[in-house]
Amino acid sequence: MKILTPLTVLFFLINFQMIAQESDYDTTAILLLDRMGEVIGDLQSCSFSVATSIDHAGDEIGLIKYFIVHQVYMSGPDKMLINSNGDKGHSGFWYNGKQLAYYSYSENNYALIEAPSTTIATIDTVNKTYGIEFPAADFFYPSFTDDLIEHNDQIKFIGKSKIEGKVCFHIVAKNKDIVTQIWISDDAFFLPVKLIVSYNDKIPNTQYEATYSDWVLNPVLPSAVFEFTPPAGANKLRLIAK
Amino acid sequence: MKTIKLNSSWLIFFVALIFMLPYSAEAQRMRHSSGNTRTNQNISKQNTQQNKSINGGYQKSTSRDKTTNTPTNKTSTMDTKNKTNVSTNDKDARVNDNVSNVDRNRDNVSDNMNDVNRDRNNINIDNSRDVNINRDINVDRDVYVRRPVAVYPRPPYTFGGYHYYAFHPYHYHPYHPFYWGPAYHPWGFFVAVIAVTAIVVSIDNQEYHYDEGVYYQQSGSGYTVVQATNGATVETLPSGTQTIVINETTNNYYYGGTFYEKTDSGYTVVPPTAGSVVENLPEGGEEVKIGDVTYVKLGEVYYQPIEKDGKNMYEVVNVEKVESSKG
Repeated sequence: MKILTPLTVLFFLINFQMIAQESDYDTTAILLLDRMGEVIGDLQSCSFSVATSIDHAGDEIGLIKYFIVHQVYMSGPDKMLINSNGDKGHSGFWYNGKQLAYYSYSENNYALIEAPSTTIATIDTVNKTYGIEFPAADFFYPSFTDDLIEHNDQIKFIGKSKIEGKVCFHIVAKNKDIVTQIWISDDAFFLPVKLIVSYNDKIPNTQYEATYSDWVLNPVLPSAVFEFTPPAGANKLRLIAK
Repeated sequence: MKTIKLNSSWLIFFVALIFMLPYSAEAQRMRHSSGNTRTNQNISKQNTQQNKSINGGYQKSTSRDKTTNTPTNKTSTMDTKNKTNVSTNDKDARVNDNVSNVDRNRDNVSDNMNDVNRDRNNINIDNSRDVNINRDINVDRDVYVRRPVAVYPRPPYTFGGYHYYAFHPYHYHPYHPFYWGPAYHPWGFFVAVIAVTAIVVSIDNQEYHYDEGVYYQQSGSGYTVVQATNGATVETLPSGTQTIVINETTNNYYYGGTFYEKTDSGYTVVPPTAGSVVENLPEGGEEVKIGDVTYVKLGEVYYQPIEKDGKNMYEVVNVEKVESSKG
């Protein structure tokens, strides 16, 4: 009996350790996220649509929801084209490996920014400097799953659910301020289908939602489509850093 | 024997614990070490085989160690809690740092003016001097926009730590500089001679020549048009001057990008009052994109494109730091 006591303690400690680890990060969820990241990381080009809704909290009015639909084209490590149309107007971004061009179809004005040599670095730099959000950018970070783990206390696989008729894996990541829900397609490609980010640290709580569709993997995209030429009469403007 | 048995069992326990503790405490580090190798492999892979990948190839750290990983400070949609301000050395960032009306740093203002000088062909326009020139009204030389009398009926547009207040909704129209007439010249314009009707206006030991709403300063063999200095007083304003009602008792007068207030000795140059609506802006401004909104920045003043009475106009924006927000 006395011999069992320390072994029992040991047994409980081992179990406690396993439970503690499992309670943080569900291995199934991590596996699915890694699979998605690997597929995206193997792509040499892609195009897709993403429909986003963003909550803006006004001082008195409360939450206002804006809707935008983006068409995204990426080719190699240094080419990107985004065409956005919605409540905030019609605009586009062209990235050719050297320069990021912004053009507003609604206002007929444009801005040019010297950009880093890769799409990911450009997305990151421009977001940090100018506050420009690129749709679906999170999933394209090569260390997506690691980043998700780093910034969340819990990551869970909830189960399967249907998004617009498509069976998906439903994953939730959570920290004290933000709950992130990710739906990944349950098919050969494990591509992102939906993303919902709920900000619990803001009053009122706001939400960002993105639904991905029309994925085309490794399409042939001519380099010319990533080059921007200012239309005649367009006003050149300067982007102000945030 | 009993004692030996007990010691043996506890010995097993402690030995197991020793093996277990490092595992539990450093399991992530061990895997992190492995992860580093994998990361290096990934980087190698990225440079050779996967150089065509849209993101350089997926990188998976096997460590999955929250405590040992260095935060990336990535500012993505999901990662706003760790956002940090990016310090950029370009002009944009410095200008943006100085847009607040309430918390201006004199050195930064000077920097801004240097920027203006550079843009305006090295014209010496130094509005940053802190000289108290109280004529008939209180004119603070460091104030670029006076706060409005009324309360804003709508929430401000907020971006990059600043509130941008306006009474009218944003309505974009392209910025086309306006010319007030043959006697009008934009800032930076050089003339060999000035009209004989020009009068001398002295302020801060600087001598300006004023004619038909335009201020000149001697430069080389001629005169260069400069921005009016707050506190300068002239007796008359040219035709085409727009009257702006500030409140029941105060009007402002606007001509060529300069705002005046009536005083006993004439019309004194004042900073624009936020909320003032003007029909036209002179040359010398530039369109700047702040988040989703395109403003016209003229000197240190932001103008929001608006529509009023069916006409395209501009409203002087009140810019305040989020921390000192008052609406």
